[in-house]
Amino acid sequence: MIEKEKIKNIESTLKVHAKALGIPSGAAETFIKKSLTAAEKSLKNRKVITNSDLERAIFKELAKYHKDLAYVYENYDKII
Amino acid sequence: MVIQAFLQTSPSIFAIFYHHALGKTTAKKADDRALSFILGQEIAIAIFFLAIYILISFLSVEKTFLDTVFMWVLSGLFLAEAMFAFFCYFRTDKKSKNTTKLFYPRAFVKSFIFHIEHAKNRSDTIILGFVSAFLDFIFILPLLVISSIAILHISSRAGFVFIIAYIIIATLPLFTIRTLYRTDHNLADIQRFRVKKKIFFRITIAISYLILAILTFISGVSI
Repeated sequence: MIEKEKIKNIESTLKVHAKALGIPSGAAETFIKKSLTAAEKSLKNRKVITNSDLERAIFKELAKYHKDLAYVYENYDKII
Repeated sequence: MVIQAFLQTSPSIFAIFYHHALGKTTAKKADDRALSFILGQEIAIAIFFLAIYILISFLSVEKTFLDTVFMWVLSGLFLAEAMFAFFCYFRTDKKSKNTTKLFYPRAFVKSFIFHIEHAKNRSDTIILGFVSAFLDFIFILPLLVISSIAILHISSRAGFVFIIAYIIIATLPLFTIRTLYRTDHNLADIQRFRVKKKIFFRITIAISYLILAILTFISGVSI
C-alpha cells in the first residue's frame, strides 16, 4: 500500500514540472492523475514497494502522455 | 577562461533553478531571478579573481616567489585536475547511462536541490549563484592563479579588460541556457543535450588542464 501523502507530494511536484514545461494546467492535471492511478494499480499486487519501483511505474505511465515530463521526472535528481 | 565555461556545476544548478522558477512563478519573474543568479555568479568570480590577483601581486614583490618550484607545483595541480576531470568528474551510473551526475556526494546534491527549490527572492538567488561558483572553486583556483600571473605582465587597463572578459566568458553557458529557456526550450531538451555531450565535456576539460600543466611545467623550466 502506497501512502496517500507520498502520492500527493509526487502529484504537486509533477504539476510544478508540467507548468515549467509549458503544458496547459487542465491537461496536465488530468494525465498526471491518470498516470498516478495507473501506477498505483500496477503495483497493487506487490508486497513490498520501494521508492524506485514507484518512480519507475509513474515514469512508464507518464511517458504514454508526455515524454518530456516523464524524462524530467526520471532525471531530475541526476542532473547535478 | 574558456575552460571555466566548460565546467558543469553552475550550468546544471542554473538549469534546475530556472526550470523550478518557471514552474512556481511567471516567466517574467523566473527570468528576473535567473539574472540575479547570473549576477551572483559574476560577483563571486570577480571576488575570487581580485582576491587571488592581490595575493599574487603582493607575493610577487619578493622576486623569488614566482620561481621554478612554484610553477612546477602549479603544473602538478593542473595535472591533478586533468586526471580528476577525466576519471571522476562525471559519476558512472550502472542503472542508467542517461545521467550527468557530477562528483559531489549524493546527499549533498539532494539537500542542495532542496535549497534551489526554496530560493524565493532576489537575494536568495544571488547567494545561490555565488555558492554555485564556489562549488567549482577547486577547478577555478589554478585557472585564476595562472590568469593573475599573466595579468602581472600587462598594463592595468589591459588587465581590467582581461578580468571583465574572463567573467563574461565564464558565465556564457548561463546566458546560453537562459536564451534556450526564453526560446521555448525546456529542461528535458537541455538535459538531453548535456547527456549527449557528456564525454565531449569530460575530455575537453581533461585535455585543457593537461595542456596547461605542460605549458606551466615548460615555463617553470625556462625561469
